[in-house]
Amino acid sequence: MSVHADPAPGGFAGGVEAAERAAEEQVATGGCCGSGAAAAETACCGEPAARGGCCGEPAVDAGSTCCG
Amino acid sequence: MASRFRADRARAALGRLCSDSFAGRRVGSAGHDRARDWLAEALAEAGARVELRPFSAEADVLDLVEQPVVLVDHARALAHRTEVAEHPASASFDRVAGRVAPPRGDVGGAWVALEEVGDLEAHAVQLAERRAAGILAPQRPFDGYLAKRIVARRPLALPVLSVEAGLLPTLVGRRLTASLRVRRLRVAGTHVLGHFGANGSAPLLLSAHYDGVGDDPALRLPGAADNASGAAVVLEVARALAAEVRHGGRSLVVAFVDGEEANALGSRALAAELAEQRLRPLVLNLDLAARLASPVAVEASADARPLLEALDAAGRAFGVPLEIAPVASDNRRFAGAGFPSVGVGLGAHAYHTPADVPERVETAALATAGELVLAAARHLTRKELP
Repeated sequence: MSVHADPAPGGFAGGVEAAERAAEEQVATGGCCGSGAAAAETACCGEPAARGGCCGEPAVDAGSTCCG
Repeated sequence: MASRFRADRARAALGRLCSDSFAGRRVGSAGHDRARDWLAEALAEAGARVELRPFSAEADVLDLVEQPVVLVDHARALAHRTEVAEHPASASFDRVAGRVAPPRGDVGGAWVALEEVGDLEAHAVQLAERRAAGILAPQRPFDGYLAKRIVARRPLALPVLSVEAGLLPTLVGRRLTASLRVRRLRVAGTHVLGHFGANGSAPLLLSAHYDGVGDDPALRLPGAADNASGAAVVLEVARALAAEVRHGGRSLVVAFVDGEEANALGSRALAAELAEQRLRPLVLNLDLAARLASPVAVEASADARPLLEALDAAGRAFGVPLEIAPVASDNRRFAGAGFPSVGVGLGAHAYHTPADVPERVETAALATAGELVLAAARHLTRKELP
């Protein structure tokens, strides 16, 4: 199993370590989408098809359909 | 020889989960319970030891008793779900009539057309003091429909309706008469778990929620992408893996999770129970396996490296690009409980609307999700535990 940077057509670009760093950054930056935010009961964000946006009620009223 | 993922069987399961008798699988409904029983039977047929785990949701679900009736100038009826929809912060009301007015000026006896929703609670308090009849909140359509929401909010001081945002300004000056009948239900749900292999303290928990937002009184919302697609893929992965989970390796628990559409309260309850049992599963959750977006989105908790390694290897084996991106689903509840967790999402053409039908689920998306998840799960369950 490769864990090194490799522009392979499949898997994570940059390998597992880069993916792990990206995941840590996502958690750290939190916002509405980080797992840390989920732990803090933030209820919003990130429908995969739309890739982003937030899904609090006002956002949904405004047409966001990203809420999980 | 290892079994391959059968997209044709996943497609058949998807069709079954979207059938009329399951009525969109809203937690607390009879159709949902029929879907639960079907999944339990399917898991048993796959060789699992099936366990049903009930939970009580700690929030109310909005149940639309009748299609809302909204008349303009006593004549034209607005179409439900495309032009007008129930709002989760409204109580029931009967034949509330008034002209449609902008928020500024005299709103006495009027339906007030908001330009933006903003702080709806504050609007309601102020407009009630100004003797407004009700609130019309703009909602932008998605794929031609106003997306359905079932997490009930505390009813506001005034009746509220969601109106298609482009239509709403054209109603100003017209007379509106509207009735709405909703109930707020404190529902109980049930997770369907299938255990494969010996019980272990760190199983692979392969999950997908099976509940949906449910049919409207006069419209079907089969919830094909969200998340019959994910549940169908996970069921087929379970069938393919059943004979391979063996003594000495990581055990497999397949979880058809309930109550995701109710603020993911079901997975929160399940995660708490597993933690109480001193279990620490690796969680791989699949939601929206209906549109072949590239790359495939993966959201990971901290310390999810074994899961990321398994997905990376699977992605490389099948040529499926992956990226760290938001996946807002039950994986966040499991991550919140401290379990190494990933959410995997491919995307959807429709979401919480009558347009979310099986015909719009790409077979290629089912196949890609299946191959990816099966290969990752196979890697994780074959590995010897320390």
